[in-house]
Amino acid sequence: MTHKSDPLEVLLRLNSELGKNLDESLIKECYQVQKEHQYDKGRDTVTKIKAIVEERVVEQQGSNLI
Amino acid sequence: MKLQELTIYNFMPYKGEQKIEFPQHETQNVMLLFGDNMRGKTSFLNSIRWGFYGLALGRHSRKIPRTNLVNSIAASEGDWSMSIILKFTHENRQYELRRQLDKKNHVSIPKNDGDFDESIGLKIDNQVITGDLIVNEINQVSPEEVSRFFLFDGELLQEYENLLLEGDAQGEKIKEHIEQTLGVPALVNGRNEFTSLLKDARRIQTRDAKNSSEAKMHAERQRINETQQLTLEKDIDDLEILQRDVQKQIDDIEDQLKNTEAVQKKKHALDVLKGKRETIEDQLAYDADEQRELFRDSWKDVLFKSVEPIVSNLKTKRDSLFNATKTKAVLDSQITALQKSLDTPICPTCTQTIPQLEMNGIEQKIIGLKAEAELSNVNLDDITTINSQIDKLSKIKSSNEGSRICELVSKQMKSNVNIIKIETELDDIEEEIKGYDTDAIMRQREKKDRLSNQLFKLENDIKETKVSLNKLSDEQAHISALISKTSGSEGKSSTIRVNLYQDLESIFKTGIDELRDALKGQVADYASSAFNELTTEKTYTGLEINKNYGLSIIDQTGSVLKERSAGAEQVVALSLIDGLNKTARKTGPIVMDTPLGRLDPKHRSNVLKYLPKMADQVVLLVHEGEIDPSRDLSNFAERIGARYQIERISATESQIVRSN
Repeated sequence: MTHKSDPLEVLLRLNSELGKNLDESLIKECYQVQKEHQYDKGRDTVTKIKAIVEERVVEQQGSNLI
Repeated sequence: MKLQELTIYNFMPYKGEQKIEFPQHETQNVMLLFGDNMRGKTSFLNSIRWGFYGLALGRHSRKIPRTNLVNSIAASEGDWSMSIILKFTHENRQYELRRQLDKKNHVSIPKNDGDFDESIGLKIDNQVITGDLIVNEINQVSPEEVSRFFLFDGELLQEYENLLLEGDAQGEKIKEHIEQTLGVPALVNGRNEFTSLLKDARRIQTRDAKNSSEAKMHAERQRINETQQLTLEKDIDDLEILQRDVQKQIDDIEDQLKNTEAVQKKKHALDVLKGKRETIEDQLAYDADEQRELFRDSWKDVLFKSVEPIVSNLKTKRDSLFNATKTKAVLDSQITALQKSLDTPICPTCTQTIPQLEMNGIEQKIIGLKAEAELSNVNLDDITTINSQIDKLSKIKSSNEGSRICELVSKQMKSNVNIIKIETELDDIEEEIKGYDTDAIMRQREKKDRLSNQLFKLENDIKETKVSLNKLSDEQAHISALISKTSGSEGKSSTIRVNLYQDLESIFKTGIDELRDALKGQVADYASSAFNELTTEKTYTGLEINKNYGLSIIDQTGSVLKERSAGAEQVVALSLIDGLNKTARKTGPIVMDTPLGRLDPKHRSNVLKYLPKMADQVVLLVHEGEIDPSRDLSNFAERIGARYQIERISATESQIVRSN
């Protein structure tokens, strides 16, 4: 098999290919949440994702202030 | 995941408790369940599906109502409870899953799904799992979305042909299932959530921008854009509701037409039988005429047997009289010649006088001849009388009327039996199709055509509205970028948030396409490898996958095979299932209902050899027309770990018995 199909690998590669340069841990955390709940009918992943992103917002804003 | 044991209680045709053990051996991994049509093979498949997911599917993949899941005989005896217990292992852990349906206490006879309570219990290594965790645990082992490729109806394999048709609604549905199965949901869900969160973030950014003089104008544009997007989103929701409703109406009509197809076939059979009856009746009338004519002359056949020897005797007698007449003429001629010698006793040759001694001899001979001639004397009237008798009696001729009448009577009896049989069949068919209106069927067909046109139009409208929505979304992103660049917005939390969500959405969105391409390649590789083992045409080089996961056969010249037989379609579909199954999950059983229906013996043999390799456990639900136990089992006898038979108890009850 020559086809690469690990979703996280794809996302991390695209981060640099698309020039987004997001912190890799942010992508990993978001993907992990989605992976764990991808087949859950009543998943509430939005809240978890929001919390992860808000943490980064605060971090970035903080570093901007400094 | 490996299935160990299934316990069925009162599920569909299976009344009471029935237990099935699945093969656990690594190489003897095939379980065969034989059953004639309508005995409960699909119900067996549904029992596993219902056990795992609380869902049993009928035609058009529609949910079977709970009232139809409970065995009808048990229900008529007042037992409305039904349950499925599945024991299986997964990653070295022991699972026991129990799903049960009970009639609600206050309900006497359930009429709909709401009249039942459904309960579910799960033990993992004897630890009880509770509440929502149960469904999550099941999804970890075997997500419902994957079930299409391990619990499947072979008769629906042809559905996969729709993947080759661009824009086909059924093909789109299958494609959606395939993508869910292939693990894309993590990215699809991620993208959807980032899109929604991005919208909220932009709304906050717009609100903030209203307070900035530099960004105020952009904020107003953004507000208008949002309103337009909301309107289009609502339009799409409404159109999609309508689309589902129209599709449901089409499915309903197709179901009805499917039922009336049987009626129409029966009507055709009815007309054929009526035609047969008419032919037999015509023949009977013709035979009756012939029989009447035969009876009219049959006395001759009766008399002929007595007359025939008489005529024969008369003819013999007449012949002897003719002979006597001839003899007498000869004798008279001899007498005359000898008498001339007596009258003139001179030899005509030497002219000498005949001596007296010789003359005496002649005299004696004449006396002897005269005596003989007298004996041959015939009365010619006797001949005339005999001739007359022969003429009269010869008029009595036989044409075997007796035996022909016997043949006709026997034929008539057979024809009457046939007519009775035909009339019984006619009565049965007429009873079956009583109440069907063929005009109504035609009207339904017309309605279906109208609805199909409406559906086509709706699909186009949805597509066009989505294009407009995408344009607005692009414009929204552009305005948002403009706001972000204004001095007042830069560094603000609302702008940071928008940028993060924007980037995440973009990465996940692009990731979906890349992942799909990679998975598609994997599916194509696995499917091609399966196809090469399954096909009997060794010049085919493999399969090519299209963007919808449809598979085309590639011939020795590298071209796509344009036309393929029903059997080839089934082999391609099995290859796709194998490819998807191997791509979507690492291990697990496959349960196939009627998988070999359209295959010729050579393909069947290839498929039977290949099936044991498709999964750790392979459960085949087959009828003896698909796998002939005396002929086909040799193809994979060493791989069979268990063999069961569905036995008919009554039209609505079956039981599963182990046969090895």
